[in-house]
Amino acid sequence: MVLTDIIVDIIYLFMMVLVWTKLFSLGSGQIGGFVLNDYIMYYIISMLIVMFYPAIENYFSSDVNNGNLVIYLIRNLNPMIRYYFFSMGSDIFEIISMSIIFIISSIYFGYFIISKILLFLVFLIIAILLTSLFRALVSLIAVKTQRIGGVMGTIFLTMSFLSGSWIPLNLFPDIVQKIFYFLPFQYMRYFPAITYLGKTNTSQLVFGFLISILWIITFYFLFKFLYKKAIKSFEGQGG
Amino acid sequence: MFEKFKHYSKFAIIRIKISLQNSMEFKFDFIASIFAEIIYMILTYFIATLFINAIPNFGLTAIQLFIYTQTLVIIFTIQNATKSQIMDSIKDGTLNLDLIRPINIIYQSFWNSFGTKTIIIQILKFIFIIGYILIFSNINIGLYILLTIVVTIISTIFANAIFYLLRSYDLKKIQAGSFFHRITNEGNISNYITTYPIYLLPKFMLVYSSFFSLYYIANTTLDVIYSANITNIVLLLGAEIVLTIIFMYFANLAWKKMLKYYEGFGG
Repeated sequence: MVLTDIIVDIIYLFMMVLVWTKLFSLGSGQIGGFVLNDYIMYYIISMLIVMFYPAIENYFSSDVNNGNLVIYLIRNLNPMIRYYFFSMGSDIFEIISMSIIFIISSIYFGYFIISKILLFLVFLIIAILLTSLFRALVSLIAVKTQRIGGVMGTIFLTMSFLSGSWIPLNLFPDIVQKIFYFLPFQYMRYFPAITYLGKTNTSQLVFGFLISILWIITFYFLFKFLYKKAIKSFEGQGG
Repeated sequence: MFEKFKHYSKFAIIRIKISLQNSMEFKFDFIASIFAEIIYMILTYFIATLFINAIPNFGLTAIQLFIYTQTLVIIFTIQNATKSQIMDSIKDGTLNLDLIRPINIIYQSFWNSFGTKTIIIQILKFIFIIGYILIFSNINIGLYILLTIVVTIISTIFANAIFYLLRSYDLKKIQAGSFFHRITNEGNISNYITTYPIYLLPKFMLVYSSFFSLYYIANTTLDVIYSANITNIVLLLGAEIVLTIIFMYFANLAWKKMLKYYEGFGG
């Protein structure tokens, strides 16, 4: 199955390259301030980032429904960190293969600069923390509703749209882009990607860094508070 | 013959009822799923507008692109809501129980995994799109409704035929069926076709995708929305029906062969 996942990822990437090449042939040399190579690299980086995202909510809701959450509670452990590494473990080969594609294409398109890579790594860590905390936070809904498919569908659709998964956020009107700067979502995918592409200036970087750290702190304390409440509710149900 | 028909229809009705009961047990989730679809439609419309603004020579208007992508998503989702996880039934042994029943195994598998909740939501969405077309667009509504229903039925049979043909290899307890299914299903245009019009694909991809139902769904929908070219639509439907029959024949053949193998090993 690992091989299948890798092949599907490569085909997806190949398709995105073909579609954007065609879109560029219809328009001018730039779309939303990006050239074709920027879009190709954007999708590669975007796919790489998303592989670090854990499916915490699936593990948590399944443990709530089958009662396995009790095991963590007896041991006085927070299960979220464990879920993260479970999820990472299953994606490790995909991460390696996508990292290779990322490095090769970066060298080929001329984006491979050490300072940019270091900056990208900083924002990648921020993105992982932000997304993990957000997903852990929304997964707590499982304690109340048991089935979370519909709720998660709504939340993740909005999240993936606002983080630049469907299309890069530079295609949005300026006023909308300014609003996005204050929301946590663009720091989950779009911002690390454009940082690597060199589309951000120093003030944007500092502002982005501060805002994302602020969101991480907010999500962390919110999660701590709601997790305690959720566990109490779970124990109240006989868990 | 009548007795057999009665038996088969009863089986389908019972399965739909069970599926509906399971969905309705979690009403909050059902409502949330409808809400997710509403959000999805709003976002898709927004993206369609952005695309058209960014690329003036796109070929479609924002309204046309929105109707196109939404129609495709409806058909594609219904198509997928009927595909079973045969590998799971082999693992947990429920396939053996299904084989004892005097009903065709593919038919059983189809209804066992019939996603009633998903299909109801997609029908609600279809009604919304019809209303949207009536208010905002000059698309031939009669032709649109008729063809969407016809294409959905044919494509569901088509996609299931390919699905069962490939998944028959699961009966050999090898992952080949699952591998081929993912490569052909996800590796073809399904992921992109719901966002970008099919004509953006290069020629070799169009040739490759013409072996899959999505190619016909996309082109027929595009024809209804863009030009209403009846000759084209009839040709596309004809080709899809012929391919469906061919795949059905081979799927049936493969299942019979693989079932013999499976039973030979005590399955």
